[in-house]
Amino acid sequence: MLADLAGVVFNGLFSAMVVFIFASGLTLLFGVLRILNFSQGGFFAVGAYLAFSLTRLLGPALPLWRFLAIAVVAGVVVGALGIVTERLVLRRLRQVDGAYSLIATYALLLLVEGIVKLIWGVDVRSMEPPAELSGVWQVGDVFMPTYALFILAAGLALFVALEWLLHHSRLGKLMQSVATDPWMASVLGVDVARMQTWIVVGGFFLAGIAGGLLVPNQALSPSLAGTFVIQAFGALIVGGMGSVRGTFMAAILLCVADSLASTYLPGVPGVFFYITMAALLLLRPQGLMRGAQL
Amino acid sequence: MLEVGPLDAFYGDSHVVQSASLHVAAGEGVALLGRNGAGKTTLLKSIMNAGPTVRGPVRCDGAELGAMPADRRARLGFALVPEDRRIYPHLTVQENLAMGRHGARPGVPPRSTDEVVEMFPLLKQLQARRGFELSGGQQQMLAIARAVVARPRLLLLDEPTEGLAPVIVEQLVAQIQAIQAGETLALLVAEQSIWFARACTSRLYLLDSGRVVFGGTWAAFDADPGLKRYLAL
Repeated sequence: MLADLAGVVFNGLFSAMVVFIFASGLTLLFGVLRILNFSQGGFFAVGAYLAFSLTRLLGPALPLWRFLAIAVVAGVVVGALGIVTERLVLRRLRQVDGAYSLIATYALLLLVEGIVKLIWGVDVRSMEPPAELSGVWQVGDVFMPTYALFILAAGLALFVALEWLLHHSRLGKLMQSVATDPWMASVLGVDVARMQTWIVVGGFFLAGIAGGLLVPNQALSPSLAGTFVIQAFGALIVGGMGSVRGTFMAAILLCVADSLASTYLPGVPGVFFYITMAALLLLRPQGLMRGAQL
Repeated sequence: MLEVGPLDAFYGDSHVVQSASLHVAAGEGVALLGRNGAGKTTLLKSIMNAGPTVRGPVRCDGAELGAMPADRRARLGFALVPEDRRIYPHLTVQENLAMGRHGARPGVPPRSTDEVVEMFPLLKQLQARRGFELSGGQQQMLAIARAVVARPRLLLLDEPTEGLAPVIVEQLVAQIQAIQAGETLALLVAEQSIWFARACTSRLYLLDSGRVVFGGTWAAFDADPGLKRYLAL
């Protein structure tokens, strides 16, 4: 029973890190630029497909370092797409009402999904994790896939890195200043437009690298991002709209609750994510970290 | 150093500043007086190109700035201290001062925190405080201190004495005079407090309903009692 519980919590934490890795770029974009980027899921899929194709291209063996390098390449390519997207779309959304940017980024999602279909087709594909991550660890009676452990570590590392970047580095202080008062930042001599472009690049890089890291053990299809997007938006909202710390905690709370409920109430799988979300929003309508910076 | 106009500035459809012209020489102090809503703030923001839609020339050392954005004007040597101070609440005093370095002109190293704190001793004890923990007077000091970090050539002050205790206002005058004694810093101050404006400047412009209705020395202003009507509530 106890081992069961540990396994269930482990599964919850794994889902939480998947959601957090996906939602990190979303959080950055919303936290700094106040853009709710629906198309994040499409660019995540681009990253995943790129990683899939690169892996195929480079031959059957997939050592861990190559898997990581491919994820970074996917991140860089999607980051570069971020520059284009910022110039063509996001920059024009700065002065308009949030509803318009939702519609525009949703349209962008459809466009990107269409392009993915044109390039990679509609067949469902799949890819194995690298050999080093294919095993299973056993601690007591709990079985933990190495790949899940890796994602857990990657999510935690990403969280620590973003927290440090945003709260302890000079760049982070600058990003927070641009987020809280872009007008004053520009009056003080900060090139706010360039800063905003780089933040978009960062958010898109995170989407691409998430695609590369999360592609193994997924059914790779053009609408891959669908489920992630909803859960990631849930974590973003419960976390307090744009706080990395909040998104991280919300992802854990929601996914662990969902994992527990799905195990002990197997009649209604997948519903408890949303029930927990509704409950947390009733308790804290402002989100977990409202008022905190990023 | 600064030549403006004739300049028109708009917020949407409202024509806030109407063919205003003014100039400020290098190192000179000039006051901009007028009632609330006369267009002083809009005029200062227009010079910085930070907000209003601007039509008409703003020249720096004879060069038309055109559509140059605010951040580049800052790096040209313009510094604006807005009426609402806009201290970053989540940053410490030190970090707020560090933000001022972004406006440094090429080849001109900005002032160090120590140097600035020396100029504004009130800030010395407050360096680790966050913006939201400061009183109004402390915020105003910090806003001006942050503006001079980059060694600007033109300081645009919007209502710096608003809400300040008289003793703080006196300190502010002394600090501004000390900076001007040290280096060539031109000053354009929008004010309601005639006393403060007079202490920091040698000339003034009167603004009424978006138009410049008088420009001249304080002596000329005093000689024409009729001008006071532009300031009366």
